[in-house]
Amino acid sequence: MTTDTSNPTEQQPLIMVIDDSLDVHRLLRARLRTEGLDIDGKMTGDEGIAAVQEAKPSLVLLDLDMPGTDGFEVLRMLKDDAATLHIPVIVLSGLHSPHDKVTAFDLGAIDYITKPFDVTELKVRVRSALRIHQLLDMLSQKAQIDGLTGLYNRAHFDQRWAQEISGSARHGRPLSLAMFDIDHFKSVNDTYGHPAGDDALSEFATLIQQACRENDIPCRFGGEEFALIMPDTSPEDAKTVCERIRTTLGEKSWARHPERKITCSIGLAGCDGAADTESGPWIEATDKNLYAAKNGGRNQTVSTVLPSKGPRMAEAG
Amino acid sequence: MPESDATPSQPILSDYRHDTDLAELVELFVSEMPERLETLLAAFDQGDLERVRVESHRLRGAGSGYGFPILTEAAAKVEDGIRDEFDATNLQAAFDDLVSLCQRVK
Repeated sequence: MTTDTSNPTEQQPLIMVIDDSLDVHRLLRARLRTEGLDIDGKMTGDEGIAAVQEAKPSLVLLDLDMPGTDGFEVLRMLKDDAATLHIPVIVLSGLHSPHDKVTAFDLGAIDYITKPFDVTELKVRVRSALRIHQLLDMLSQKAQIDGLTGLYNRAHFDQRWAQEISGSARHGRPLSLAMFDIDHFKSVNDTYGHPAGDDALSEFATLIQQACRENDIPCRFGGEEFALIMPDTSPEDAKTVCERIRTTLGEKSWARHPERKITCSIGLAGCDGAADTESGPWIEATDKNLYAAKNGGRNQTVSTVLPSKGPRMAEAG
Repeated sequence: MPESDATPSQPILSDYRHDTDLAELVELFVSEMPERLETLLAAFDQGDLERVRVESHRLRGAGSGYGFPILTEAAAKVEDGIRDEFDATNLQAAFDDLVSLCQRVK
């Protein structure tokens, strides 16, 4: 699953050719030269598996009949590994028996081209496999986006939050997490109707997105609650970001109800260096602060500095 | 394949000799052919049929790709012949055919 912010569509798709014949590598390169692809290749199954794990290509062209680790084995191993499972594999083979084709498809091949290959067929099948891969990527990304607000959803939050904690623990980088909850949201809904409530949610989401920095990860946590993951950010700096969001929301005027302002309460917990708190307790600490902000009269930020591993890192500003 | 007997010294030209994508590669393939042929002949002389089978398998895969489908056919006969354990006379004939074709590839 790609969760980084880099845009893979900007680069040429990478194709990995695994075949023990140098001729096949040469011919494929020549035939696909005009397709706008990066082509890399390996001559054995074992090297091929390692290269696919390392480079995560957009497509694998795989020979079946190779000495040592053959194509069936390569396919089995790629499909057994969660990191390479989603990479499409076109089997390229001189073995023509229906049984081989069935086996290849059973093992997870997306398509099958028989050698010697017809040039037009080769190009069309490669294009089609790449298109499917691109659509699947888009779908999996869409599955991580909240429909109403356009922010990342809870599933993405869970995955990303775990990654950020382990990144902070490993590299000793500060990390902060904030939870936002719209004050008296139920009364906005009850007084002005659900469309007004939906407006409040989506406009608040937009406001968070605009007010946070490029590397922050805003998510809809559930209901009227939002989460903001702030990598490389000390609790002190995170508080500045939160306060900016809180005051901007408080000053905003609403077309549907000009007489009624909307505010939010914010819980914040972060650490200045290598994280020493597990995901669950960290979220609980953040939630507890959110609860304290509500109890303290709402429209405020309550924050905690969590302990870091080892010596506390020097901190700027 | 009776063709090799009918036109023993006629050069065989690639179907792709005018294909701009491939012309250069075809030249490379032709220039490397003597070396491949030598490997093939040496293996056959030594009775190393597995090596002959592997080399034939490669020629079978490469032939059509470079625009020599006739080479693919001949190499397939040798490879299948070894796999299916042809008798010596039939295998020799298939092998001679392949060698003759390889020599005429231009």
